[in-house]
Amino acid sequence: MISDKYTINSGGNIISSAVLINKVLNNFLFKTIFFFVWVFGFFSIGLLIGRALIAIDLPEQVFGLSYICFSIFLIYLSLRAFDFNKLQHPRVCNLKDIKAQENANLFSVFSYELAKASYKLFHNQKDATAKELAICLLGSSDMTFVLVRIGIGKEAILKELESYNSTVSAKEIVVRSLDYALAESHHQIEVGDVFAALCEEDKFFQDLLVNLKLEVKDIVNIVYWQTLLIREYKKESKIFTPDRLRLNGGIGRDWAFGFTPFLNQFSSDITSSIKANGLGLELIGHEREIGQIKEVLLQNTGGNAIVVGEPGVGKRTTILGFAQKVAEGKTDSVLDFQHIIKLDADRIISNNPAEISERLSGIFNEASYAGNILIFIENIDNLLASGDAGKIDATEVLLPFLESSEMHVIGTCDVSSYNKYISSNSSLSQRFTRVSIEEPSKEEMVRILEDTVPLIEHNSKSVISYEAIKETIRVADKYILNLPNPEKSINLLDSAAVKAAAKRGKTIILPKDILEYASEKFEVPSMEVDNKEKEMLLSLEDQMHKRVIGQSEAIKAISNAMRRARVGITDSKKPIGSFLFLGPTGVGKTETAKALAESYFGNSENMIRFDMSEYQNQEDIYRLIGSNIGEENSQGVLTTAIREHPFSLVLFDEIEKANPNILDLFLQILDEGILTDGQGRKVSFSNSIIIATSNAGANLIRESIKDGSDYELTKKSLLDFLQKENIYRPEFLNRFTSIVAFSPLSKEEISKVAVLMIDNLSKDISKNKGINLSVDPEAVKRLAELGYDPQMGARPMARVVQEKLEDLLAKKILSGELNKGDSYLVGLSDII
Amino acid sequence: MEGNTSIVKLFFSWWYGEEAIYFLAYLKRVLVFLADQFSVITCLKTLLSPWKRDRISTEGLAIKDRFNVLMLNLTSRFVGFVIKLFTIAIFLVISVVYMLIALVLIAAYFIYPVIIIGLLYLGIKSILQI
Repeated sequence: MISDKYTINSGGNIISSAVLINKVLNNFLFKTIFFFVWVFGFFSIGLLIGRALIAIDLPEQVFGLSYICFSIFLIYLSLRAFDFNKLQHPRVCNLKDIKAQENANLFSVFSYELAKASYKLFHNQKDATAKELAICLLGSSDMTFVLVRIGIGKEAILKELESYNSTVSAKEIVVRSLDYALAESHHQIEVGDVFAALCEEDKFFQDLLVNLKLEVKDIVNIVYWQTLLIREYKKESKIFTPDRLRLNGGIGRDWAFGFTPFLNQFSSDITSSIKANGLGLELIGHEREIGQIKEVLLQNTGGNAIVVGEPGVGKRTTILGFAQKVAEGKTDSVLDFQHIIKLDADRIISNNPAEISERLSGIFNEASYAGNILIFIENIDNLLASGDAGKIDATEVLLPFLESSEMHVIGTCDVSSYNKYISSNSSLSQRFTRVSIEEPSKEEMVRILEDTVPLIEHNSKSVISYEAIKETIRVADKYILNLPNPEKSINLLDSAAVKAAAKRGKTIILPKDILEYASEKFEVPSMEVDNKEKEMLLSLEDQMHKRVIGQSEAIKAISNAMRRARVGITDSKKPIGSFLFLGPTGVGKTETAKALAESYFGNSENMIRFDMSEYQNQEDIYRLIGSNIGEENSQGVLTTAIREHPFSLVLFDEIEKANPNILDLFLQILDEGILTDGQGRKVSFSNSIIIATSNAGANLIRESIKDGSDYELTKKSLLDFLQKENIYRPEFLNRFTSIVAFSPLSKEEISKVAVLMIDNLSKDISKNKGINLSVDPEAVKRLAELGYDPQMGARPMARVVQEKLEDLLAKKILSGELNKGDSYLVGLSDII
Repeated sequence: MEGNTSIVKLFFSWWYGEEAIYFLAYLKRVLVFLADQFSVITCLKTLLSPWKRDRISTEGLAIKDRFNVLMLNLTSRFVGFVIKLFTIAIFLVISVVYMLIALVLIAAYFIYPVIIIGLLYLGIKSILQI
């Protein structure tokens, strides 16, 4: 066993000495003594200096006492430094060496807090269990942070632990924690590392994590978070460290470089601003891109970087991170202490447009001559937009300077602008090197938010739980589709925390706060917030049958498909469900779609409908997704609708009439849940339900039903027919969650439709005119007979209700026969 | 007793080993920091360069104007030279003072136990008025 390779003994090593010494000294008596040592120490220094400088006249015994106090003070200071720097926090400690050593005592690489917590446990005790270790850990102050963030109290765990018997040894846990400490680059084994190992190895803590809906990696993230804060605190609290003496180039840093009075009028110095105010955040996840920018700028010619990424993905933050390194002299290159100057493009182009080229030329000339300037142009496409209305063309002015070794440019732009203005222009693309900024991964996002949390907690005067961080990332990913991370997650967490704190005062921010805020802000259906999706899915058939008459097989098929699609794969990027409704006209395809929208999203208005007979030509595709060809820059009706209302049912009526190329769009939507619009932006359909309806094969369904074939057989022959006749390609049909065949309505079903329609009319007239309407059963029967048409389904029924009932009521209301508060029974005589 | 002996030994090995190296490195870092604050390397590298690159091109100028411009450029270099030389001189003075202080501190560090014993001796002597 690996654990046999090591020993854990709290006797005879430095850290155990630290524990013992501090145990002895950490009481009221010694604390009082140390207080007086400080007081008398400073007093004696003052007295001895006074004697030397102004010859204070006091009895010699007083000075003798001062000498003794001063010497005791010096002894105290040196011992205090020894205790803190050597015993508690040794500077030299290599965990890798310890891991490789045979028979190494792991207690010697315990952090002071861990050693303090587990000293007794590992004092000559060989068979300590994980449970005993856990109890020790829970007594440590370092655990408070972890427990607060995961949202459980120490007492609750201790109580549960009482009845638990651990089969894992404490030694195994500590040995495993060594790996966690190494992975997180700790130079000692921390309390958090051991807790992470406990959560991985011990059954009790495994169950605890399951109950808290957490994983071991979440504990590791919290430990990282704690380490980050402790490191920051230590950095701030230490005065005499070499890190404090940061080199910054000094008084004559800019003496060898030129003046830039003209440039200063149109710019701001980012590096000076960072030096004065700091960056305000710890930059995580952009080290690679910062390194790339540095490499690009170090090229003698053509050393210009263009940072490309979607808006909000962190282009500006990356450049600020790079500027921080430059300002602090940490690039280890000639770039150190140069000035990153951000051009104010608005000011450059706002006054007298005729002088813009001259102005730009002056600015770049001065920057180039100065020799220590890196020009930063945010949204450089605004300057490079040749020929676009309202924009200027700076390409010709900029090109000669981009070749210069004296001046370097850093620009930012989004992907579509890069494709449009830079990659399509060979002169520019040769002189700019692309640095792509990608969205951080979910794991990186956790750590980015952990870094941002102290600021948010300070602003909202609240404490943010770890689960709230995870929920923020999930919710932002699912519901905020038009912004990239980290911007969307940071904004969401900040806003939700401020809102919850405004409502409850000082509080702990929980996942429900995030979801509540998101539901208000992004129109997330209440079902999502209340977590009632499961209940709704279980009763989907009943819900839909409230609106749809008959079609039991179709509704059952839809409900089953919805349940299949939603169970366990909620993180899928695909649409919630996608269906192809096949069947004759008037059998309830559209009504079923409305019923599904109402059942799932809570409102039948959450339906976006497209009549695909309007999209028969190839160029109609641009009406759906928008266009960015030439000067035409139009928004797509489909992409815009989904961007604005992501929680919708999208109904594509009569899909067989659409151009076949348009059908290819569906392959991407149904497969990946993503569609790229004409502007190159991605639109997500992951919160939508897609329904396409088609009359193709309607006759076959009628024949099949007439022959008495069952539902599955009808559906199979229908699919064979569609593929045989080449109406739809197999890859198109296979991408739907389910293909649903709608059978023609029987006379009884039409009769039920009539009742439903009359009920709806009755409700409307009662609501709008205050008249109570009822219809005689014989009249209903007659209406059903009049509205029955095997070819047209229920469609004639609507016309009959309109002609026979609505017209009748309109006449009676206009003639004054019916007034508010009246009741009216429609009889058979009214219908004929 | 053995434990106490080893902790005393550990203290002295730390004081004259690890901590002494850290202390000396810190003092060295202060000197580097001072040199950086006075931009000594930049001043030496560009000692004779024009002040803030303030130089006018003589290209295409008449001989008289060219002479005037040359004089202006020379003045710019001279201004730069004087300021940089002055800066380096101040640095040298400060660094000499610093090194003297640093030497005292280094000496005090290494004879720290002796200082403590000396102070105790002086104290007892003064109290007892021996």
